[in-house]
Amino acid sequence: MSEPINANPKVLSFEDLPTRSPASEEIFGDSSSIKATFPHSALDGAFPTISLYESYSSSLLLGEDGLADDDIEMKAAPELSSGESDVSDDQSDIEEHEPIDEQEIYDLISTISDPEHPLTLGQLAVVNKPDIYIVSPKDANGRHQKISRVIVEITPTITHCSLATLIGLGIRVRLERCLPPRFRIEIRVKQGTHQSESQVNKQLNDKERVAAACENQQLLGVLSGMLATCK
Amino acid sequence: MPIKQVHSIPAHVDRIWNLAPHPTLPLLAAATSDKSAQIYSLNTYFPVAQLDGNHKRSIRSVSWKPKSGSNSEVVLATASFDGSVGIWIRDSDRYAQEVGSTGDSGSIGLEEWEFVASLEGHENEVKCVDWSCEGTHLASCSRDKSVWIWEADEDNEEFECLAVLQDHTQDVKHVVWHPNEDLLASASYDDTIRLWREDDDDWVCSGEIIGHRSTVWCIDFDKTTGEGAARLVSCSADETVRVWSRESMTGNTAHRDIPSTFRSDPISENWQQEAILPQRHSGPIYAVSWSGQSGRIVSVGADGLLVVYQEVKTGEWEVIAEEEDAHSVFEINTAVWSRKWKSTASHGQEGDGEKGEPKPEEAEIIITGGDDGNINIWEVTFQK
Repeated sequence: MSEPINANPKVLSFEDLPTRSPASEEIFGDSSSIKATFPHSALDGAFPTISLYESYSSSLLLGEDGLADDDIEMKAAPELSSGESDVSDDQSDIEEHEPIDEQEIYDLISTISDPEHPLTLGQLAVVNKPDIYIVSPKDANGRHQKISRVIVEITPTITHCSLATLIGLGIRVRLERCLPPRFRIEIRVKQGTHQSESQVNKQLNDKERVAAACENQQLLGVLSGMLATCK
Repeated sequence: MPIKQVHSIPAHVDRIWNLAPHPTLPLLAAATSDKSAQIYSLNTYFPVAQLDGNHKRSIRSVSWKPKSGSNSEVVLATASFDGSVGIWIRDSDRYAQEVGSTGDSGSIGLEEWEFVASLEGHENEVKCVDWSCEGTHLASCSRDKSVWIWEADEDNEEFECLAVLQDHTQDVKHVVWHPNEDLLASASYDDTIRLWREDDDDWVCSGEIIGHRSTVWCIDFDKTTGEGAARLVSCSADETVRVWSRESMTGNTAHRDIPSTFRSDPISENWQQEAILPQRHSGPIYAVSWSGQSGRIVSVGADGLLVVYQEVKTGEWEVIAEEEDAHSVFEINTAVWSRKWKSTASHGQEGDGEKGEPKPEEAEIIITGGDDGNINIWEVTFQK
């Protein structure tokens, strides 16, 4: 990419990104309000900090029963639990019964790299935890239906970002690969953040277009580059 | 629940995009994301052939050429994301020979199929392909926003493109021919349905149906209407299934010898919405099928729900059967009605000879295919 579309995006420092820690959620719950400015603080530590951030969050991920605040009954995807291979046996038991929540979705997608900046979607605040929704409807008997929805609203760094569909596709591919098939994934541009919002949304949620795009080798190359920074 | 699953074929590990039963033979074709098409026997539910090696990307759609008159060959068209349409013919000589020598059936590779033609021209993914009722024309549509109409020679090896229709403003998702008129309908990502007719050697857009509020994924004609009447059903990402009927037509009868450019009555037809079927789905509805036998409609979609509707009186429909999680937690991409074929003990008789062919029973079945790679067979047991 010769000329970045947005040469000067706002960047969050990794300490400000939401994690499972209750303390940090309290303080930094509204992550979008805390922003550092490009380029100095952010670029320095962009990639090294990713691994730091991961070990930090995964160490906090376990033994926090109280944090399973949603009432969704589900097992973690095999791909998800395999990421925590360093935990002991009884801990992974807990992990298995822990439902997938917004933080887990955030952890899966916030580490995706932006296609034009050497930064993650979390750092660029393209992906924000308050914009991730898990909807698990109940049937008439009060049981959870088998199929749940994951809705991710992305915030492009600029309103005419032509890479919004590529970013959205990267998020969709990441979630399709990691989540069990009972999840229906919806990727949308957050309202008012993109000039061709409805077009982008329609494209990102057209199953056939997504499937065809994923058979395009060139595009797959770009996507795997974006996903290379994920754990 | 007056619907029951009578069989499930674990066909693929990957997505099944489309299923098509042969109009007169107990054969089922499946289009899959593994770049192949498979043929199953509807007598035994066993695979009888695998068509692969020619398409470079997913096969999105399959369509059988109807047999008529002297045309006795079994021909399948495949539409692929690689931008081409494939034409395959069953090698009937070898087929007859093998059946004669072994009498054994039910394994892949019994039938030999020949890839006879590749129709090139679309700029990118071909989404759907459909043969006209007489088998004289073939329609294809693509993300390149166009609908192409092809004409085949007797051997199905030479195809001539008769028209490239470019009125849609977005991807064309689906095409389907009227059961007895030379009338084609197409459904699009531009939320509309268009109708196409031949007018003095030119193919023209004879009508446009506006009403859906999102992508129209699939359409099907009513096969039970009388002469001159036409209805079609459509399903959409707007979560509705709608029935439309043709109210009037112009330009089709008088002065056909005068070139269309000099005629005062250009060919056109007026379609109106007749009904929105009871709304059950949440999420995009990917397929509808209108039964030629019972007049019922079936719809399936991303929510995994299978819904069967019956018309109580003209324009008034009720849900007579509903099945949740019809492919467990997976999305359902295709649903189609078929005659139910007798399950005979001596299989291998399902050849193209008219003799020895099992008689279709009165009962009909619904065949569905999903992202789980399964083909499920359903019977509506409720009789009204």
